[in-house]
Amino acid sequence: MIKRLLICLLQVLLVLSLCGCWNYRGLDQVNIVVGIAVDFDKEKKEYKMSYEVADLGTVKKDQSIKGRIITAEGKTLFDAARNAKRKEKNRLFFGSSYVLVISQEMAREEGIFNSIEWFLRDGECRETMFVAISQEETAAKVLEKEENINGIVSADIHDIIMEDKSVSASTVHMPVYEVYSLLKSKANSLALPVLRKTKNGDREVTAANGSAVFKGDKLVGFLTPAESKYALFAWNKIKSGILTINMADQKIDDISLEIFQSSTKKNFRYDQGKIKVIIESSTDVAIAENHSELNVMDEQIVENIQKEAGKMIEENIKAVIEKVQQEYQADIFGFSDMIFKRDLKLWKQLELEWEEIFPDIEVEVTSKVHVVNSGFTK
Amino acid sequence: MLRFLKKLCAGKTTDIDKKIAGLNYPLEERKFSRSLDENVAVIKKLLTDVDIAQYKLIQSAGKNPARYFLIFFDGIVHSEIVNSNIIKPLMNSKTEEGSPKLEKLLATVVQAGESKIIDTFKAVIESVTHGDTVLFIESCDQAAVFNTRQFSTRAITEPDNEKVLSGPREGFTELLVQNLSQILRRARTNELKTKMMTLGKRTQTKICVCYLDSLVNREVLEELYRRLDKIDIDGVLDSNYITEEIHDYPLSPFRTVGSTERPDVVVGRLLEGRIAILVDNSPVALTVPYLFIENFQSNEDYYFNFYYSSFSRLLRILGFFLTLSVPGLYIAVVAFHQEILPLQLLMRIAMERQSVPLPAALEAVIMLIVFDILRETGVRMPSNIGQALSIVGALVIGQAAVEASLVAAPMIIVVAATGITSLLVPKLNAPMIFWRLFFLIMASTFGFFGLTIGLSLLFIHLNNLTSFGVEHLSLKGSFRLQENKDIFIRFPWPYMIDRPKGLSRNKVRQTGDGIDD
Repeated sequence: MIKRLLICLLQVLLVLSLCGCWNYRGLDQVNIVVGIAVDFDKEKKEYKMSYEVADLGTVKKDQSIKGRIITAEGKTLFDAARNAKRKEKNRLFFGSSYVLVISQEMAREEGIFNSIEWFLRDGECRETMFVAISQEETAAKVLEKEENINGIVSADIHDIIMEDKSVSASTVHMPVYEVYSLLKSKANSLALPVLRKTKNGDREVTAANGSAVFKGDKLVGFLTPAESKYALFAWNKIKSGILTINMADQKIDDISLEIFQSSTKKNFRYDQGKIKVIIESSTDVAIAENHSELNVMDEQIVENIQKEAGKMIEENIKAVIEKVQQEYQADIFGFSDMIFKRDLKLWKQLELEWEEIFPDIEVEVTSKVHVVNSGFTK
Repeated sequence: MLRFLKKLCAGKTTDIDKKIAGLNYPLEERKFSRSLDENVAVIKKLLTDVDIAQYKLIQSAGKNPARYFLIFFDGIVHSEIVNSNIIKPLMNSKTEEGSPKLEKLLATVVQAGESKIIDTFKAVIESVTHGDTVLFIESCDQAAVFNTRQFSTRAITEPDNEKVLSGPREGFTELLVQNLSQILRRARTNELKTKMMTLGKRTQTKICVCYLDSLVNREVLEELYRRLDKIDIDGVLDSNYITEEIHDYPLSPFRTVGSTERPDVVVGRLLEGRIAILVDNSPVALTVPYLFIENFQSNEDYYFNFYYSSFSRLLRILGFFLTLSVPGLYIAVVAFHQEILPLQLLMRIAMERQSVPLPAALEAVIMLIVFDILRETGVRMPSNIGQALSIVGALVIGQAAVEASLVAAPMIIVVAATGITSLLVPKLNAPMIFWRLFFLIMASTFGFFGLTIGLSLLFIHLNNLTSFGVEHLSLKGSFRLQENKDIFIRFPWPYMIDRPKGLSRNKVRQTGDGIDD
């Protein structure tokens, strides 16, 4: 009996060594970090961190919880996180973080790899938090808010970015673990959401503003929200969004199409030393708004709308791909990865000259749009 | 002084006393002698200081009067019957030459429906304590016992802890024969066997083993008799005494012997091949074998629509898991794995925890004990001061403690959820109190990891339990739908063709011809 008990106990003790980093940590002993902003002080060569934490001490029970900024400096990110404890009663808790904002200056000059490595290596950080680039002069500025406003900026940013691809389709969403694996892979096709301050009524708020294009881990440029939508088409990541076309009236767009579903296939052809990338998209839309006086019950008119919309998508996808090819030379649509995965021999052949080949790759886009629903007015 | 007293007592001894004194103890084992006087003396000796014993010496009429000696206990006999059916005919009877034969007396003089002949003093004591009247006659080494019992019992009412909304409302009482009559009314067949035995050296409690002959599993029956025979207990005041004596695992917190206060439940279980044990003076009948799933089954399941019954049964099972693990789960989440909470919820809980002095784990232990104190008080206290308890419970412990920031509000919710869900499965209350605390301690030392270990231990323990050789938690073997039609989901009656696995030697309940399967 005693022997059996000892065996059981031994098993429990052995298994104990297999579990990760854990400890009893009361909720009253932590500062819940919701958002993190990383800036780099070039003179001191240290990171300036701003943590937005939930301010639980001062809030009353019936009020919504406010955010509060804690700042800390350190030689590395972990160093800064620990240094923050010198000013604070409680330790920082990264288990529920939503957003990691990186300043554009640092992203251009130092790259972003240094800023994300710790969040994946440390056992207490959340790998699903997403990375964004600040278009303001510092990253910290994005997390700031007016004094009298309730709520937590990072939580708002999280909701804006997370829901974007199924509502307005103006930016990308990239969790930190995906950023890491993209940086580590051959693809190097990284794009991140961009944040900036803007006016909403008379309030200054943080808003999504398109996406940032990376080459390696370094920022090379931006895409506007409109360009980002067609980039999403090319990535096959678009879930919803509005397409506007111009049918009857030549001055303004008069028909809104709501995207129900869309899928994009990418392929390539290698012909006489030249690579041609073929992108085929197929999109189901509904006519959501129509002030063109056209009868959308007419098949011929619907056919025209489909053609017009398809043409518009084709042109825009082409334009955005051309922009990253020519201006940024950044392979954010993963052409190299596609070739690497489908034809390894060819990739080995092209690998060394890829930098020269990439800007001149010919891209052929065909977009089909299918109207599935014309809406109904009462 | 002592010597003097002894002398005094010794001086009073008569011939018969000397005779008795010479006998070996115990007197009870002795057989009657042919002398009436000697028998009377022995009885009076046996019943020394038993003042409710009534003795009556009667002489018959006629020239040659015979002497009769009656003994009964005051208060538990029907005095009308004793007077008019026994004493009066005996007094009026005319005796011929010599002393009358006992058999003849029973046949011609005494007007009693139920009577029997005994020949030991032990039987006398047994009979009179039941309310019988014993008749001795001259020069006969036998005595007659007449059933003159009369004692008041409780009326048949619906048992408080097994109330139903629809269905039969009868419950058992403390009187064994009445309980048997309720069972007989529901199973009018000679297959229903009722084996009586007596247990308890001093209480001499009658118990009755009931089963349906063609359904019962013989091995279980033999095992039950073997265990009952081994019982050597002083007294049996309630059926739980027997439960603990015949339990497969006496130290396990889980019961492997079922209990109910309802005749319809007993007959339902008899029809599944189980055995019932009824104990005199206890309204609680026992049934064996007892499976774990029976904790979640209720007789009402069979009286309601099966969709509703199945849903309630699933709720009860859910309640079991919730009441076991909610406090542990809460502690594991707020002290170890905060990241699994949605941010808004996490911040709210963290806010509540800011101003509370005790760590969450300690708070949980204290609050659970407070809840158990309240629950126990509710059972123990006189019912007319019940309001005081609800005020203390709801206002002081609930509201005031939270407002004074002594206890965090989520903890109160957790304890309330635990308490409410525990009421879903009242039969498992006793083991759950301990397992819940165990899970809580495991969770507050190792988080989810500890909780998982605790749950594993619980399942290992449950899986090891047997009830009279039948698996308590039947998880082994392949799945057969027919055996599982009354486990989580109650199927409608026409589809329940087989009896539950392992209980009965006659597996088929009905032919199932009525349905197209």
